[in-house]
Amino acid sequence: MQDESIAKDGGASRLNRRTLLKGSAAAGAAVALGPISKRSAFAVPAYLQGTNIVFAITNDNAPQVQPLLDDYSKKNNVSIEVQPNPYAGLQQKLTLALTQGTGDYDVVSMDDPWMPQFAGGKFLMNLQDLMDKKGIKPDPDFIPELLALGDFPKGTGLRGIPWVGNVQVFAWRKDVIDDLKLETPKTWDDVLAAAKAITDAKSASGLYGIGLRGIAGNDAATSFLPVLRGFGTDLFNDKWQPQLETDAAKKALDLQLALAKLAPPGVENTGHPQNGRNMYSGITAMSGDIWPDQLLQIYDPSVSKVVGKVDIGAEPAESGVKPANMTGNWLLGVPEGSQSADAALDFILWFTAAEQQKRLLMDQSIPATRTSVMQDQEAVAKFPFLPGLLAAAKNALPRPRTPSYNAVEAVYGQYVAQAIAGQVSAADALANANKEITDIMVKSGELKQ
Amino acid sequence: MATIGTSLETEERELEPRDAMAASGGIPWWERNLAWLLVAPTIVLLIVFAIVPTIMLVRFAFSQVLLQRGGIKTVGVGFDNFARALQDPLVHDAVGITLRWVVVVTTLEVLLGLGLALLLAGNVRGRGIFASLLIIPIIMPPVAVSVAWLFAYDYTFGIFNYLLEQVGLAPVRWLSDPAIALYSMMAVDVWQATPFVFLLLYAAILSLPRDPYEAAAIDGAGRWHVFRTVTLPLLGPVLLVVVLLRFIDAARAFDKIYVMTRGGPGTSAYTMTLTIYNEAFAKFDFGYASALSFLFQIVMIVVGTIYVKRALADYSAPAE
Repeated sequence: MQDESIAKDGGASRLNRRTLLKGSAAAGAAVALGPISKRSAFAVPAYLQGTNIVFAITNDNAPQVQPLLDDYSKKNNVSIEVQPNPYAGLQQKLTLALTQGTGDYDVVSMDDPWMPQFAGGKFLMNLQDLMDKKGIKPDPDFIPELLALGDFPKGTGLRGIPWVGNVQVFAWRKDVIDDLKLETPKTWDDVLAAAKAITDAKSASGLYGIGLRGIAGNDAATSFLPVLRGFGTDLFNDKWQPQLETDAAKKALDLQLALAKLAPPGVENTGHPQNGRNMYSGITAMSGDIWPDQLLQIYDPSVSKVVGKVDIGAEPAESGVKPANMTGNWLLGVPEGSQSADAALDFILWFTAAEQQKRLLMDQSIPATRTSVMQDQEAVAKFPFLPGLLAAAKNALPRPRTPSYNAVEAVYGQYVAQAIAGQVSAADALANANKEITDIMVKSGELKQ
Repeated sequence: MATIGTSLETEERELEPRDAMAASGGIPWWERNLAWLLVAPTIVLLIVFAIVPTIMLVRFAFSQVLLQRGGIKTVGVGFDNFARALQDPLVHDAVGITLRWVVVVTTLEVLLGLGLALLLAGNVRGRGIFASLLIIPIIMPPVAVSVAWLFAYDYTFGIFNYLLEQVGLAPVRWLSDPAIALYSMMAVDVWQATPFVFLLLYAAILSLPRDPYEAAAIDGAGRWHVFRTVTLPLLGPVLLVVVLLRFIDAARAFDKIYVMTRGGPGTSAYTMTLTIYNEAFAKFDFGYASALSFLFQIVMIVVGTIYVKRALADYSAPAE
């Protein structure tokens, strides 16, 4: 090609000394830098050269991943344009951009409850197909329960690859439990009894038995769902009929309301950050709604008053009910309409590789989705709760896998919050939520009346 | 008739040379259409940002909106969304909460703003500094203001409960007690918007004519009497516009409530705007949210129009 262009331009007149010097310098630099970077400039595939990848992610995660993005950009001659958004803003923007196929983004970071809507509607590319074309198989190092979150509808192929291994856990202050000679709670009734004992004994000194979230929507819903499941039911049965007007749901909400009375004042307005802060500040002794980012704070001596005093485990469950935790993973996917799908896939595979996952864990305290990283000795030495988190991940259940989950969560999260605030009775909250969720499922065609 | 005939003839004579120029192409096209060209950008902006969205809103309000691959699909549902709105207890509550918010914050802001304006319009020392300081809340972003107050209201770490404890009083659940939370947030709005009212009324008071005051002083009128019979009537038009501006802004209350409690505790601070937002972006029910939005707009337009017609009627210039 070069010879051809030289000939067209009139012989060797363009190949002057300056050009030769520049070329030699570039070649020399490439040879010198080659061993440092994993992929030399000459090894970078053509589809990456000069590509621009637009990456939608949360505000919180954007600065955490930036060092990795910088490395990938340098190694591959790719520019990555990060578009950070707050959680709700990201969900809204992705919902509109993905459903309308605007092609605004090449890589998107998604909370796992969003996957049924985005993957189910085929708004995301099938990564499995893209990988098959390149002869790449999913790495068995991924925790299978977490990798499965990207496969929706089940068995149709991966449309998302998990990169944040969030799992909700039950956490308790072992020193307080021991001090009051209590048993570690196994059931939600045990939790209520222990919370009452702790609040009665210690609230005067600022310690409350339980922490939970009461803000309408995602917050109240996320605190309530493990309790509901702990009583042996779920939001839906296998025919997608809502199950909130059952005895088990009634018991679960009654228990949640009793727990709310034992929580620190302000439970009605408590969200995720406050619930974590209450735990690491030594204000609450137990919570069934603790996530890895909060565990990291609990174990961080610079902010925590309870380092080494907190244990974690499976969510409590009534006798005969299998205890389970809940996933809250973040996954990476490629929206339909992306003009840089190959580059986006290359980036996602690199980003979710064990090396990068370990960097994110060690440097940014982001829990991994790979078994090898969660078992890494150096990582376990730094974060002693990793084995417990890995066990919880292997036993974790996602939220109900329906494309209507966002609306469903908004409804039951609203009624649970209203019940906690004393605006409606438990029975009315459940009846209203059940009716509205039924309407949503009928409207979406998932439930036949 | 003769007069009319004469005038028409005169007009014809005056127009003759210009018409002749236009016919011969003497006046460039842009000059002939200058009026249209000048208003064209405004018309385009109005069409793009007001008329098209309103048409879409009305269309969505009568539909079930489905976000599907390849575009938005609408299924006509007639008046179902409106019927649902009339029966929705959340909407009934939201109307009551919005009304309460509008009445309380507008009243307090106007009274406090007027009081401050009257105070500083007198010969108060350092009034320039006070006036400058009072402007600070207006220039602060509402989200920053809300976050600052959120910390101040915190049950455990907040400054208000700390102060209450210092004087031996029990701490208050400022943002989590359903009976108090809405009023706590109203206080933030009053804190931020009162200076706006003050600023407009202060400027208006300073520009009032001095003669009526001198006449009142000669007649020996007291301060209250002067305020009631001179200041208030003269301030009337400005005051009524201020009330209208605050009413419209208060009815759209969203940012402070969203940041501080997201409408909580429970749904006790779900105003109309928050309810619409929740339906659109939490439940993704754009059809229902559009119907609520449409109803809200209609109510606001009707109330605003009646207010302007009734309240400002007394101040309209007499017909000549």
